[in-house]
Amino acid sequence: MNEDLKKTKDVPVFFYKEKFYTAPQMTGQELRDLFNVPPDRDLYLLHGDKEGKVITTQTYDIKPGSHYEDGPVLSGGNGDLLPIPSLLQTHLEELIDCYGAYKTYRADSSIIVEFLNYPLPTSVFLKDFTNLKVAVPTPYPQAMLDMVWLGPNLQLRNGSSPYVTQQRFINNETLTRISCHVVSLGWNSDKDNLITFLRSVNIFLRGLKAA
Amino acid sequence: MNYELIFTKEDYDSLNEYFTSDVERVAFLLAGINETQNKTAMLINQIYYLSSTEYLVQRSDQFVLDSAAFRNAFNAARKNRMSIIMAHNHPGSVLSFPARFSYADLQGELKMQIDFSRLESQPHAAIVFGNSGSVDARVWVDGINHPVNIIKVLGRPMRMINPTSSPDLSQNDIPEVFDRQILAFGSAGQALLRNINVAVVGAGGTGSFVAMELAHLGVKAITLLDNDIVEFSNLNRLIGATYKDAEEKNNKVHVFKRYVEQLKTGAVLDAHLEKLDSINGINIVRCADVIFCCTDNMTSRLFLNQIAHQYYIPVLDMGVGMDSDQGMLTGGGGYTKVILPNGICLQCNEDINPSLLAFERMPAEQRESAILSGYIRNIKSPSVISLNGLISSMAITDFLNLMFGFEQCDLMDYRRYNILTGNVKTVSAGKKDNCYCRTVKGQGHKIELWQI
Repeated sequence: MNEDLKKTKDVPVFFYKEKFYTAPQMTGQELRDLFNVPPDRDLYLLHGDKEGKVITTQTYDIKPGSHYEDGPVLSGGNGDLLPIPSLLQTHLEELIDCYGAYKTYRADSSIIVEFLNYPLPTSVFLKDFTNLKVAVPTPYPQAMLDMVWLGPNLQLRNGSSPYVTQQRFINNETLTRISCHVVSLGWNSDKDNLITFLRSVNIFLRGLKAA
Repeated sequence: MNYELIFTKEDYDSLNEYFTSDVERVAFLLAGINETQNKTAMLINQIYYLSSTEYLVQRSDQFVLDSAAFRNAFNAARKNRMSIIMAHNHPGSVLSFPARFSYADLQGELKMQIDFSRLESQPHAAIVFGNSGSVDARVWVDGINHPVNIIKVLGRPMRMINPTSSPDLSQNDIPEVFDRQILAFGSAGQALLRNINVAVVGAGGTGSFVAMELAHLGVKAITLLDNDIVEFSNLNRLIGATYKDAEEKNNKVHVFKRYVEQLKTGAVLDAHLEKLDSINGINIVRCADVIFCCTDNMTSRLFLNQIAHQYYIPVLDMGVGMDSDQGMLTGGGGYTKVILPNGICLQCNEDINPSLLAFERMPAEQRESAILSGYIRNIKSPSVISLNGLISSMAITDFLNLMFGFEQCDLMDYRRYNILTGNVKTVSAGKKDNCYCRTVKGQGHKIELWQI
């Protein structure tokens, strides 16, 4: 870029209705800095009814009277932008040794914890591992854990399906929902948490019989 | 302040279909505003669906949009002086919990506040569609959010959806008076009738009948507009009016208020000694959820037709008429119409008679001269209470069907009764491509109602 062109700042431009002076040539980043555009917003140059995004690394010849505006890069969703509660995070780290890799995502007011290779009792099931999803409602652990889904089409060693489960098509996946409440003695948030809940799940799985 | 979002059925159905998706999707809605003393209604009249190229991230639990997507909606809202509603879905709601905004949604909405402040029209809003058919919505005013009380979907029936975060308006203390009615509409239906605000324009032969039935049904808030007095010739058909009222030239609305108070069904009648074609009259009916048009003039119909399309307020129009020759009934009957956006329009259906309208709008002297010169016939038409009652009850049944949807109806259908044959026929109203009902649709305050 011509350094002389950069030095003189006498070209009038507008950011919304506010007047600024720029050099005859400016990079997109320099314009952003001049107008104080936050990092989560993009800068636009207006041409009549149309407008073009100002690229930070691009150098522009600035026309006097040019009008600029900005717009937000919007985000949202029901997902994992909210941090996992620290106690749950601690418990998940403790569980890695027993249950291996997991992933988490938010669903409404719950956090879904999905163990990717959850060990099944080999005396009961044909498969050794499945994926297991637990809905952990917040606040944790004050709200009782209740719902568990296992991978699809699980079969017992005799080839039949367990009698207390049902197949559900949820969120584009066919899962086996354990349809009874595994915490039969109630929930005491002083003692109960994801770790104790999974112990109850394991006891439940060991006791499953054929349909 | 209460907040409402009002959709046409087509728009709401179309959004629901768009949001039936494995991944999160976003649409920007533009809305006109109907702001009254107690509530602000956002009237959704345009939808910007996004293409897959407008997402930087699009997953089942998250989205990030290219800023250009928002800029398109922002520029359209600025140009058309409309409010923006950001709509998206939560397809990952595996637990069938009612839809709720996430923390991430809040962060996204906070980013738009500076842009909202740059728009002329206020307020703006956000709506989220859950997996289970539930929705949540909130309105943004000066950077602070408020729950949306109700979402209305204008079709036949008119759906009233309670967003997840809306205050619970269901009431259990329904008086025994309505026991037999609850058997038909349920407690929730009775609560709906109690919470709805109905305006009746005209307190004459049909208006007094309609208002009486509304009071008996348990509609609590009834607004009645009329600036007329009781005359002796009204007493054959005016509900609640007495000989003394005619002698004392009492106002129809005050006579009827007295009548409703005696019923003690819980109805509170707000009586306005007002014509519709005045700023006050229009401001009064704009507060209503449903309006009954019970006048016998073109001016009221013209105004209410525009209010229905411009402010998204359903109008139930009715008309009665009889022809006679030397004391013999030669013809007659009546009709009831439900006027809704994207549905029946009196102008499209050529129900507004331009010469009668012109006559009504003439100065009094000119009107007299038009009668004298024979341009307009000034003959008193026959009027009988039974026909008023029949047509009013048909309109009330249309109203109940609008609320509860017990009969499948096309938006363009209306009913016509013929007194000579005793038949009630369903007729399909006409639609014109270039009618003003399309240009005023959902514009709210942006377009002034015709100042006559």
